[in-house]
Amino acid sequence: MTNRTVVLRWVLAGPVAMAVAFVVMAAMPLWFPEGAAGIDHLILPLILFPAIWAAAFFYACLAENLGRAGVILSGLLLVNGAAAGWAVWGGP
Amino acid sequence: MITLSQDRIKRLVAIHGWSGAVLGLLLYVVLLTGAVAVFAFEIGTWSASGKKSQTPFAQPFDGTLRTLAAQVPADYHEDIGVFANSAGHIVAFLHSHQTNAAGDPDEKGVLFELHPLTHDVLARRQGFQSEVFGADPWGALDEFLVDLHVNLHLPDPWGLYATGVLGLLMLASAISGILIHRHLITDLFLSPRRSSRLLTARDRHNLAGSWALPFAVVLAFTGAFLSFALALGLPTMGKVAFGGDQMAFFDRLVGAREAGDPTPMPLADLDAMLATSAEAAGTMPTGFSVHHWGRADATVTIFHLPAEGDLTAAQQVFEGATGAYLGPKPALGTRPSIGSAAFDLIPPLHFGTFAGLLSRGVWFALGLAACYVTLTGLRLWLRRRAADPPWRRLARAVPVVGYGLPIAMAGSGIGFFLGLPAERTLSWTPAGFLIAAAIAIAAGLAVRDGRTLARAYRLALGVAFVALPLLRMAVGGTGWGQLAADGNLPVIAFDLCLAVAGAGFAWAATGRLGARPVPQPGPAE
Repeated sequence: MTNRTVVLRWVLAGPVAMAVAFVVMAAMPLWFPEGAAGIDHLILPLILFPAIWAAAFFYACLAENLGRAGVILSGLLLVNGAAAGWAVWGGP
Repeated sequence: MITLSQDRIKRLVAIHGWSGAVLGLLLYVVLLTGAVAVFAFEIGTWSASGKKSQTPFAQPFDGTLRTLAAQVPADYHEDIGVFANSAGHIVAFLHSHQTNAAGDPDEKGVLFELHPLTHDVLARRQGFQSEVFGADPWGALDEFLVDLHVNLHLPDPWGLYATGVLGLLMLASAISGILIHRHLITDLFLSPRRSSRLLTARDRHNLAGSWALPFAVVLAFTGAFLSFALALGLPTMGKVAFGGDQMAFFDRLVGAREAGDPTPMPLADLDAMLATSAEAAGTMPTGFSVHHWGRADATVTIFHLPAEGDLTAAQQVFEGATGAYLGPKPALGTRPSIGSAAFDLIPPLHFGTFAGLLSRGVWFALGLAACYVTLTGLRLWLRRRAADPPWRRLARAVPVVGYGLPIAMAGSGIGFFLGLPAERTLSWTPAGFLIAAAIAIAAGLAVRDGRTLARAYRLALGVAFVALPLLRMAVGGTGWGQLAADGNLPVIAFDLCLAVAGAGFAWAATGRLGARPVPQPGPAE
């Protein structure tokens, strides 16, 4: 394992996994069903936040193909970040 | 057993080790204070020498609340929260929803603390919620311990971020522990090998870890949720889904009824509503809230502990102006939902409140097991790096923090009681903690021999634990006879637990617990 691979894995498992968990949680109210009381899309993202982080963290740690993991995590980060950012700053 | 490649197992072992090593001592602080905080309410009751009434809402309260409402500005009729604190006093907070100096939504109003039997006003405080609720001298000890667990006494929101990160770290450590554990079931009944110190320590770590791992996952998951939801999640949801209107977001989340008719109208008989609610829920009320006091659209929500066989607490809603019973309400939203049901599971899982004192006792024991796993894991990790000076210094810090934290917590209790006669508990409680911590750290620096240091710490713990119930009574706390007569048996039980634990530590300080033949170092060491 090269030093570059180790650094990339640390970056993906550290700041990237945390950022992915945050933006996925932030974007969930935009697509998650509201449910019978109209609150599921507000509370379930908060409850699932540690699970989203754990999934991103262990995926980054255990992926054999680190390049693919980088693309998938970056994609999640960009798509969800853009959706949440649009809702906060760019919406009507 | 889960089959993984050697490379992946190596990475998981690294995650397991590093996650415990980097912030292991801080994790231990959160775990131990969390185990103690399971009994926070009982600690509050004990430090106040029992409750003045076991059923604070058994007395008629309607007239008292009308008198209190007449004493505050009409703005503070927007919301009224009433509950019994750990000392058994009734607390009524009449308030409106405003924005504090930091620009955050906060509640501002007048807080009354009342005697539960006579309803005499014992204390009156005015200001924002964050100010008036932190000023109760009787709640100083339990609130200090809970705050230490929740935010390490760091300023908001950094304390919550810190404990949230520690929760995620614990989650990583626990999940990696499960994945690398080759014999999770058989290790539940592992008998530690005594052929070498390292094997004994490793087996004990595996044994305690096998029992604590599933619990650690639950605790870490729910703890990370509680920290990040408050500090990060709720403000984010308000911005994304409600354009930053935090009040509208909270109203939707908690299922507040929409403001309707502001026509002035007196509240219906509150005592009748409390009686109806007790009958519907099957338990006595623990508190209630009145939304829009004195208006035609007033709502009364009455809170109860879980009924026999129920997992979660109940809420009953009444129409304020007529007293009509509207039915039970979920914790979140206005009708049952998956989100509210999932949210309902968090407190029982994190605080162990699903089967009364028994489940909380189990949670306390598993919390202590998790502390043991954290410290022994850290020591094993450091033993492999004993030749490295920086890691040797961290190894010196392990017993200082391991013993120093409970000594400091006992010190906070001693400080509380010393400050009680002069009603200075709010300053004496943290002072007691800091003084005891400073003494423990100084001893750690002064005494180089590990075994002598451990004995000194055990003796200090033993003396402090035995001193606490004696000090409680010495500063005017209620004696056992009166406590038994008043139904305050948990206070007596707490005194006894402290005395027994103190005697145990004092006995351990004599070295008899470690009098067994010391295993010879094995070749692996």
